[in-house]
Amino acid sequence: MEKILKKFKTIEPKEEFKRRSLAIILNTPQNEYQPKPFEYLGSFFNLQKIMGLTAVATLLIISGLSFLNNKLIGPSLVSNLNQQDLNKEMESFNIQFSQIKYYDDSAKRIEVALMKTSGESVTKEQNEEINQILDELTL
Amino acid sequence: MNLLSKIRLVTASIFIVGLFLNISPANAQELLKNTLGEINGKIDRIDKIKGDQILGNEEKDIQETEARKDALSKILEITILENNDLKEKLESFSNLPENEQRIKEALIKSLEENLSTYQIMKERLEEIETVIQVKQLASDFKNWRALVYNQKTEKITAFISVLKQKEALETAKERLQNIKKDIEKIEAAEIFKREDSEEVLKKAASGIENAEILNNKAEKMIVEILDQELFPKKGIFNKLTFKNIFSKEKTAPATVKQYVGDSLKQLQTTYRIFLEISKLAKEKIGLK
Repeated sequence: MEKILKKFKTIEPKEEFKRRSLAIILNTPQNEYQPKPFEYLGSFFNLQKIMGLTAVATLLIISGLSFLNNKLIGPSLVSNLNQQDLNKEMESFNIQFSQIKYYDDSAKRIEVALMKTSGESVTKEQNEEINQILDELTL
Repeated sequence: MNLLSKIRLVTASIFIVGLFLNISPANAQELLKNTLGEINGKIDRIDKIKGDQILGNEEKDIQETEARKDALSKILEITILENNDLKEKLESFSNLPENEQRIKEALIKSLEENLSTYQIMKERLEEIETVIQVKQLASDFKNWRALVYNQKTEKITAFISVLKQKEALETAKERLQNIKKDIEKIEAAEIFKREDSEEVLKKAASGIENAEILNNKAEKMIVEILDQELFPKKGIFNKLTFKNIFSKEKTAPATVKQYVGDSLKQLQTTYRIFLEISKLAKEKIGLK
């Protein structure tokens, strides 16, 4: 038995086996280091960073609230006093009236045009009036 | 109505409807202005040909006839465009009181009656061969416009202006009510004090009230004139009534439009007040 055990001491792997085993070990991906969650946060949040982030967050909150106040809360209080809407309404009233005025102008203009087409003479005043009407209409 | 009249009516309808396919109200207005501008160019061309010293007499006659025909055709085109524009404007009014609805329908019918004249004009225009003929046709059309078309148009536009303004007044009244609600909200939020707005709101309300009074005056006048003219009452005093109305009739549409114009000025003043309130409210809230 003792003999057998002593013989074991001298046992060595073959050279080929050694090389193959070494190659397998070296090519096997190593386990990455996985820090524990709190360990990671602890390393990230040092005092300086915490202070900086707090400042940025405060700034964002304040500007966000101010934006909401201006864009949502303020106008919603006075949505019926929106200047654009008021101007649009006033403009539509003016357009309605100018559409009616067009007919007075065109009646004069066409009368003179028909006088010219029929060979009747047109006075200087009529000509001037027509030019003025045309200027107004094309403005 | 004989067969020829029916054919004319159908042809006129196709011709006129064809001119108006896919034209929205805003585009119709632009089209009218542009066509009116084009007429000016056509008239200038007549003068140019007449003054041309190089052209021989015969060639000048041919070119002048064409130029006059061209101008007359454009004038006919704009008259039809106007006719349809007025018809569309009248058709756009709904929920009118019974008497105004009756007037509206009668006015639409009177515009439709113009179609046969346009068709006759178109046919005569196609047959023209000489300068004298085209001058005569232009003269006939001018007389028809003066005696029939312009008088109709004057009254119809006065009627339309009154009704359109009624819609504007409704918009302004609604706007005032909504602004009052807004102001109540900002008063409740202690952004605005009652004395900041009370006086200006009173001014705005009074502006709308004045605008409405003027519009009602205009409405009464034009409805009375059109009612008498379109639906004359039969009776012993009919002639006398008609004479009275006729003497008023010439100036009435212009007076109606004057009232409408004055009413519009009141509305403009009111909206300037609204804009002032808006500016003040935004300053108080801290908005730009």
